[in-house]
This record gives sequence, C-alpha cells and structure tokens, in this order.
Amino acid sequence: MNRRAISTIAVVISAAAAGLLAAALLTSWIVVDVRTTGTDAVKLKLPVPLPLIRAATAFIPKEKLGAVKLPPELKENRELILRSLRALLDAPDGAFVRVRSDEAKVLIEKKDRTLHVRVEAEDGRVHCAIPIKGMIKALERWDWEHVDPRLATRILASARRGPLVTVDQPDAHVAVSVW
Amino acid sequence: MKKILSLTAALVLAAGALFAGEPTHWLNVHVNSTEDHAKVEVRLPMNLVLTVLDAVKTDQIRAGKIRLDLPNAQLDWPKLLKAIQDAPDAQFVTVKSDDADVVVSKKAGTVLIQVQEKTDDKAHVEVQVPANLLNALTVDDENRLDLKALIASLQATSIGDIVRVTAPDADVRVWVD
Repeated sequence: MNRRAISTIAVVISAAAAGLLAAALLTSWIVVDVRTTGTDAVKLKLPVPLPLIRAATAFIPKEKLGAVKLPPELKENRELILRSLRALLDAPDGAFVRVRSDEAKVLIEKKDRTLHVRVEAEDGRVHCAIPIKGMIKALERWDWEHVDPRLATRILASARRGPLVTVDQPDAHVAVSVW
Repeated sequence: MKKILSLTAALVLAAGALFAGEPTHWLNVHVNSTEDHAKVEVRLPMNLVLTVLDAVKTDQIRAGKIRLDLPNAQLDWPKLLKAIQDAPDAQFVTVKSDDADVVVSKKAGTVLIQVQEKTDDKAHVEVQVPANLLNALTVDDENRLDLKALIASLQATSIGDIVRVTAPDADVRVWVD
C-alpha cells in the first residue's frame, strides 16, 4: 500500500470519527443513573442517545398501545389543559404553590419556562423539571385517547440540559437527565 | 462616539418604558390548618387565573360564570348592588340569629361583610370588597355570578385583603398584590 492510499484512509477515518463525534455532541443524550445500597447494591449509569429511544419506541406494536384506552374525560379537558399550560408559559416566574405539613413539603415553581415540582417527605425527595413549551407541543400532537410513547420522547427532546427527574431515598437514588 | 452611546442608551430606555406592560398582579391564598399543621400557600398571576377560569366547563362554572346556590331567590342584583355602592359609610345590615351574626357595613370605600358563626366551627369570616368593585359584580337571570369580570376588575383596581376566615381549625387569607 503506498503512502497516498494510507493517508487517504487516515483522512476518511478521521472524518468519520469527527462526524460521529459531532453527531454525538449535537444529539441529546438521556442519562439514567441508578444507585442503590444494601447487599444487592446496583450502580448503573446508562447514557442513551435520544434518537435511539425514538427508534426503539417505533418498534412497540401499535395494537398493544391501542389496547389501553384512556378515560374520555381526558380528551374532554384537552382545551382546558392546553390553555392553562399556554397561560402558564406566558406567566412570570415564581413559586406558585407551597405546601408544608408534618408529612411533607411541596413546592411548585416556574423558572425559565420550566415547571419544577419538588416534594420532600420523610422517606425521600422527588424533583421533576417539566419543559412547559415542549409539553404543550407534545400534547398538541397527541390524540389524548391512547398511550403514546412519542409523547414522552417529544417532551424529552424539548427539555433543557440538566436533571429531569430525581428521586432520592435513603436506600436508592434514581435520576434521569438530559445531556 | 459618546453622543452615539448616550443616544442609544436613551433610545433603549425609552423603548423599555414604552413596551413595559402593566405590573403583574398576583392572587394569593394562604390556608393555615391548625388541625393537621398544614400550611398551603398559593400565589398565581391573575392572567393565569383568568385564562383557566375562562376555560373551565363544569355544571357549576362555565364561561367564567359561577352558579350561585340561591334557591327561590328573586333578587334585583343591579338595584341591590347600586344601593350598596351609593350608600354612605355606615353599618347597614345586622342579622342576629342562633346560627350566626352577620354584619354588613361600609367604611372608607370598602364594603365589609362579617359573619360570626355560633355553631359548628364558630368561624369568623371577613369579606372585604372595594365598593368600586361592585360595578363588576354582575349576576344574570339564572343566578350566575360573572366571576371572570370580577377577577378582571380585581386585577385592574384592587390590591389588598379580600377574604379572611378565622376558624378554630384553620385560617384562610385571600388577597391581591
């Protein structure tokens, strides 16, 4: 093999590597982090590219999803929910609901077009960050009658980079983040 | 250069002042339950409340109007509200019964409704309504109160306490800021 051929192969490999790297950097990754304690402790950090999740959900048989019919009240309240979410998107940032009791603390606040729900109880803490705009867009495209995994992937795709759901318990930590 | 910078700064400030919307009014509801030691604080922008209210469709609430549970009530609402609005500062309704004492009075442009329960919770309820807000209080022939118009008016005119309830098991405060 002459020198020119070797350099061509090197260029092609470098370009492919650069392309893969660029694609990886441009693609959103969903990182699932699970850590448990005890005798059967688990430590798992699984980064999955979002397009792969989308592709995987496409293989779920439609008849299986169609079998689960959601209550009709949900579709009846479609406009109420969407209009409320649109109004929420336009509303200024702030803490909208705070509940403090002997059992738990709950905080619902809007910050940077994201709705944060935080629950602190004796046996654990939960935090959800819901991208409001992405939620609206996903709900607008949903039929409101059947379970559709694309609803979740569309919301995930619109989420800002950072933690989406975090559950902390004395013996377990589960986090789903977007990177 | 300095002139251009000052001119730009002036233009930016002027544009900011021109496009700045009205300050957001917030509806606050605080519930302090002494029974289960729970404290609930809700603080919502009025625009959000209005939008949600307009979209709600139930038997009781529809198109921003709430059906009042007043069986057989034949009240001339506009006349009644106008009379209250035009009345001078005074204590003009006092009802004393075994169940509760009710006092309706007007003071410094505010209509004050005080209810002291004598049975059950022995709750004390105070409702404060700015008199100019009575213009926005409309009840149609089917005894439906236009809640949307009332809240819209609240957003435009009123800041301060609206409802205070003091009961042995819970305190409630509703106000706008």
